[in-house]
Amino acid sequence: MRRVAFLLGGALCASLCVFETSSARADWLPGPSRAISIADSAAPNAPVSSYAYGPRAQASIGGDLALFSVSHENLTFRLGGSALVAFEDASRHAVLPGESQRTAFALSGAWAISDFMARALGPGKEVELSLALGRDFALAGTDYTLSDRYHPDDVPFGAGGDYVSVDAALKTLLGGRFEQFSRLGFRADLNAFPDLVGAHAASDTVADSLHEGGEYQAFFELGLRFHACPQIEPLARLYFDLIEPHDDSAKTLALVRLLLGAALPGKSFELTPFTAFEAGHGEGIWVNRTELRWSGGVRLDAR
Amino acid sequence: MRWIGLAGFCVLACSAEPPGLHAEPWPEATALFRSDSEWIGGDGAYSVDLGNQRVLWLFGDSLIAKSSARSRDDAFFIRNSVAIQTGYDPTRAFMRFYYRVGADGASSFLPEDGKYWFWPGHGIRLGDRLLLFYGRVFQQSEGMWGFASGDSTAFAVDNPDDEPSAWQPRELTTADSSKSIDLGGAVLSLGAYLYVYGAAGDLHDIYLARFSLAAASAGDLTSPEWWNGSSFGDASGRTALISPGAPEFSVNYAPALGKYLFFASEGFGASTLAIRSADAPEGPWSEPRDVLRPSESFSPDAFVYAGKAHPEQRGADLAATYVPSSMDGAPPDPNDDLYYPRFVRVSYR
Repeated sequence: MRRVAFLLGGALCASLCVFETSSARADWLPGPSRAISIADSAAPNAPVSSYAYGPRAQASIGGDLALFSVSHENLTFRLGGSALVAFEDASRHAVLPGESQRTAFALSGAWAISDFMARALGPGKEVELSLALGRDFALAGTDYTLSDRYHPDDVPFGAGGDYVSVDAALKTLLGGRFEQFSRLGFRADLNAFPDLVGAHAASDTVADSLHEGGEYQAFFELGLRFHACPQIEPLARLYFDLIEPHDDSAKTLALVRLLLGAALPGKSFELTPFTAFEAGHGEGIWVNRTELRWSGGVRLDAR
Repeated sequence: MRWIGLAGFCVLACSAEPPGLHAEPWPEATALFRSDSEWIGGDGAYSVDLGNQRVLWLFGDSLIAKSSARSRDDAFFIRNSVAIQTGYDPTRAFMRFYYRVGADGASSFLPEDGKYWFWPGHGIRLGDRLLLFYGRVFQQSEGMWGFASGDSTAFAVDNPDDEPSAWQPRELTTADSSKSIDLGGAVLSLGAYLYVYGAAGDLHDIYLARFSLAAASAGDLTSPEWWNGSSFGDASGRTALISPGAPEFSVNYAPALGKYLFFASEGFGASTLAIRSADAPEGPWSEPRDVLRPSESFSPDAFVYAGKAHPEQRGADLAATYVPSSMDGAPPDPNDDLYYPRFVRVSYR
């Protein structure tokens, strides 16, 4: 943990040194925490407010916000965070979900480079590198008892935990009306760090005491958005993740999710009716439930 | 290796190592611990092969029902008990429990010694003599965790073929160097020596002593040699084989694997069952490998402990047990379902 704090602190100091020139511009509360949005991601932990149904009800309240940003020429640093509280049903078919709750928080530093490699790749390309510290955990609803049968290779605690993640995102303008982005990320829960030096017993102690079920997670996302007109922007997102559990005896989890929607941009918010197809692990306390799911709903995120 | 495998997205997808060992619950065998009308729970659960289809089980804190209702709210709480399993297949064996019964009701099989009580360790039968290791424990402060270890000690039983109710355990003299370690967590007879493992310190570091088999068979445990990292010598140079270790564990030789196996509950609270392996009894020991997360350990409140293997049992590559319990009533146990040892079966593959 000390190493992680040192890493984040060092990166922050380095950023501030880079921006320590007369031409650097600082802004407080400049908007989302990333230049390349994480709110319109198809990831289950995307910090967005939404409601969806299919095969059961899902709802979330979430958002992300940069506390401040510092810009210098084509480089911008954002320090911010995100939060999500999500509710989901697993067995009943009520309109409002309540059988489980997931909570996710993250504090992030993001470095965005606009016109990245303009000479080599052409203009309109933006790259963002991010480092985040976060925590996510899952709970059953007050009156709900998990009915899923126990399997010896199940992953405990909703695969949640305290983590450090890094990701790289690339956004490209295609022909003026299409916007394509991709994001590749890697997350390590705190129990992974003792394992890196071969101390698996210490890793077990960390995982048990912090209730961490996962150890590593890798994720990749591709997105396309069509600026058809100012009122409507069709979009598609394809998300994929793999979760490597902490327990040697537990199985690796995978998820693929395709989200198709039509963004309706407003002045401050964007409303996106969508449909999503997904195959693979569930979320939260149902992380061990492997299903094919099809849902439809609407999401709202700040612009 | 794992870090390299997980360094990238694509590499991650290809990095799953085939598990060498895995385990699963064995409820058919667990029923063995629920077969008695009065013994309604206990922990510890060390086993010693007595030969001739008989297995001695040693339990720590145990609950003895006062009535046919078998309620733990109306039960004697005793510090140790034993049982004899007849038959090596736990799914078909018979189990009979033993403890003392007097005018005041049930009491510990090995009686308290003043302020001290005895919690069991492992044991071994050497010829016609049974050696049993116990730890003296006392209540140092209030509460569930207020106990503290005194000296470790050992007892000899000279008539192990008789019913335990006929045994007269005789406390042996042990070396001073043995007393500061909870000696007796696991006992192995190999060649000319008796190897005895023990745990010490806040991290339950594992130490290894060996005794001349001839001396140990005669009940003489006064001259241990300690593993010092490269050889056996006096206590001044002893070094831990495993750190952090475990307060309870087992060590056995697995002929099918050609390895010594160290089996324990790994972690604290919502623990897993894990195995370390080594080519020699003194190691070097591998890092632990989780073979099973017991169902009870999916609760964040879980208190799952006392994992150990029982190589004398049949019906599995390796039989093992653990004990699920609760801390301060969490998780709730309205049906008195916790605190019975649970069998699991480990498969080599």
